[in-house]
Amino acid sequence: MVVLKPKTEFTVPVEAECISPDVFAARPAKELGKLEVLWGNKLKPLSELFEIDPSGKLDEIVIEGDVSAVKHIGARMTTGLITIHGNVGMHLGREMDGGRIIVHGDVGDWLGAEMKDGTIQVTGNAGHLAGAGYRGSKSGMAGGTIIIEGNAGDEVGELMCGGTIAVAGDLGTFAGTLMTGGTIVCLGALGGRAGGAMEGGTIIALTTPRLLPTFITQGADRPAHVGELLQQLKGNGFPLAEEHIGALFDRYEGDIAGKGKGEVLVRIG
Amino acid sequence: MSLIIENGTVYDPANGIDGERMDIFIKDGKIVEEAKGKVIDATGLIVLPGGMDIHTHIAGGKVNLGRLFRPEDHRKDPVPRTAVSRAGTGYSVPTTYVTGYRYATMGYTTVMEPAITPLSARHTHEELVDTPILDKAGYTLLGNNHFVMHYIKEGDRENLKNTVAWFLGASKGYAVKLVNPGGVENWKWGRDVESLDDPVDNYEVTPREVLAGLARANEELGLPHPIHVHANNLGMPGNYETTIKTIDAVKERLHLTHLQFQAYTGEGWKDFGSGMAEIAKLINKRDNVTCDMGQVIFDDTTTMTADGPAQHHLYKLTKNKWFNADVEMETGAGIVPYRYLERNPVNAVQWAIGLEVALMITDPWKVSLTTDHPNGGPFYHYPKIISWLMSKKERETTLGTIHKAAAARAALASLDREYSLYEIAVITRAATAKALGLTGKGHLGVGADADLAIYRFSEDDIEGSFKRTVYTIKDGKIVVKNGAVVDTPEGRTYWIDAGGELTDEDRQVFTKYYTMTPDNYPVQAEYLPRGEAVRTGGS
Repeated sequence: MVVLKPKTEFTVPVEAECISPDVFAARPAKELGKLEVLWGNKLKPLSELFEIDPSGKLDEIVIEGDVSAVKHIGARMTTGLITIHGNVGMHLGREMDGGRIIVHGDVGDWLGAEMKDGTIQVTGNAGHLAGAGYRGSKSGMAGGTIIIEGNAGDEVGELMCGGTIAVAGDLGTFAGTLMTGGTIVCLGALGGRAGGAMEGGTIIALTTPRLLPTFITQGADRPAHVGELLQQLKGNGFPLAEEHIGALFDRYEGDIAGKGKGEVLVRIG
Repeated sequence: MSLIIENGTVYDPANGIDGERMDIFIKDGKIVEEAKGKVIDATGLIVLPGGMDIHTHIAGGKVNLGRLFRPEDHRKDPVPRTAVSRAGTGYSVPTTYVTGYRYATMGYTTVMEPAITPLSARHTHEELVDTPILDKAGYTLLGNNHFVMHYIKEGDRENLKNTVAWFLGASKGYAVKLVNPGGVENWKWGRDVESLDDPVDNYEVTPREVLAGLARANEELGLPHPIHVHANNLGMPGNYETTIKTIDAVKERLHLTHLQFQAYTGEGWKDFGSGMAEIAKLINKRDNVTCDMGQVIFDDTTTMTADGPAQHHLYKLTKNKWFNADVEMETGAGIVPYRYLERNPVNAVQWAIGLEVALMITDPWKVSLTTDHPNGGPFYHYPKIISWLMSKKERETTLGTIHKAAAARAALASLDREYSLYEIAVITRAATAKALGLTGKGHLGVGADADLAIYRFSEDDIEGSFKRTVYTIKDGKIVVKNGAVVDTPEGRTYWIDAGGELTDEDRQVFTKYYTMTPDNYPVQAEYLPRGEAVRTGGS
């Protein structure tokens, strides 16, 4: 385990792609401090910004303190565990392909953007574009799971093509825009224009949302696989009640302004 | 400032020098007989004139739109600043500064932007000025220009000549460029031209007449470069016949650009194959024809051309994002990202055809090495192309990993020819300078511009040898040392001053239909701080 503590409060953005179990585990403990991070526009050794306390296996990282100015933590990680006690900045776990990130606090925008596998769990709120695709990309999140126990911002799951995003609080506007696969679960209020231009995938709304007119109801359904998915999320700590698990849904297809192969399931009982 | 390049192995085809150990003297930016000064020991290194690219889309409205709509392309290739160079991004549509640095690092010192849209010529020159180190010039798009087609229809040779001269001067262009002559005008009405004799809507002219008319005007004006032709039916199966007809339609000098995209057989994509053997047979018989390769690289790139209908076709094939423009009375444009895949039979055959251009045309002086950057792939891959041309083994290695169609539907696998270093210097330097009529470029004779590329060459790593120079020298200044940019002087921009003025009749039409007035249209000299006007000796 490696414990990192910020030495000061960061007043400029810090880019720290190197804070990743893959990077840490690939070198001896005494060299971790030499890893380079961008502090504003200057390259600095990690040891200048963080107290580093390694012991035992290096693929388990614990960050204690506020790192809300630190971006790209866990970028492209494939294994191991990062636990953060405090708020954390943008691009956490972007393009990750395995392993686990647990945040006891809030996270910035682009959480798990374009991730392929692994799990991210956040006890607080998340910013915009969690699980989305970066500008110009054809697809966002392709696999893995993001669980957000608080609220999340706009454009969550934009362009996603696989995996699961579960939000216990409210979602902003444009959730699941342009999605082609995967599942978004929202326990609170699903924001406006959810699923706009979606071509595939599923949005599960456990509170009645206001949908775009280009989603057409197909009648009530109680899909078994949705029950299984919700059960699984509950097992992973997502705060679902028993009545959610076997709920009855109104099934909408859309966005019929496009291919119309996506679905929004709205709980009705 | 003086420099002496001592004891290098020199390849200077324009002066018949083939790997001779000799010293080269530089003074005040030129090659001289003898000079005293700083000595660069080139023992064990090869010394070539600075590389020249005859066709590379690096600046202008279309290129910049390509940058704007491909953030994902930049994200994978950030370039940090150094003490002497600026930050930017690379990949298929690099920033202007990165374009300059990367060409110079490969030993290139002169590059040609092949598609100036006259209406946005000011933008093109603003970007060329911001492309450091390199000498540049651009070709003015005239193959679908209203005035050009009007005077061809009228059979008015004098006014056609006058129009060409005026547009070259107004856009500060260096050569006459034709892109799918007539086809881009028809695209404005939702169609294309299918053959050289398919009429252009509303003009009662044919692509054949546009080709012949501009080729003749080009000679009458005494322009240094032949008409630079992106022929009709680009990228379509069976288009090798159009290319052959294009060659036959032009009696004057003709440069066929990115020939690979014009050399396809087949009725459709299923029986798609190489038509390069037929085209090469014809070019081998003609002394008025030069060409460049348009080699395809297996990579992710951004295709961009003034050929609107061709890009619409590619958009329909790929379903990728698409940009289309209709540029008033002049031209059009299209942009579509594209990835050439090794396992795709069509892409594999395209790869083979590109190399066939250089290997089947017997005289290397008729060929220039290009990828039609970024259409066939980014220019960074030129060293790889050199390795394919110099080594049959390298070609066989690639043939072994790509779709078998490349071996079955092209003759490449049976070609034993391997380029020598001398011939590589021809197709990347000397022949290009000759085709462009740039007498001070592409050679190391006394009086030439002191643009040199010095490489450490190894037979076992041809690609690595040409990736970065030990020294790149531009106008007698060291700009790259051991693969790192050390100085970034401003390069020249050549343009043609052939006179020409708008007639009263032209002026009226211009004022009525253009969004810009004819007085605001021409690019002022201020936009070319190191502009060099080339005056023509036309009849």
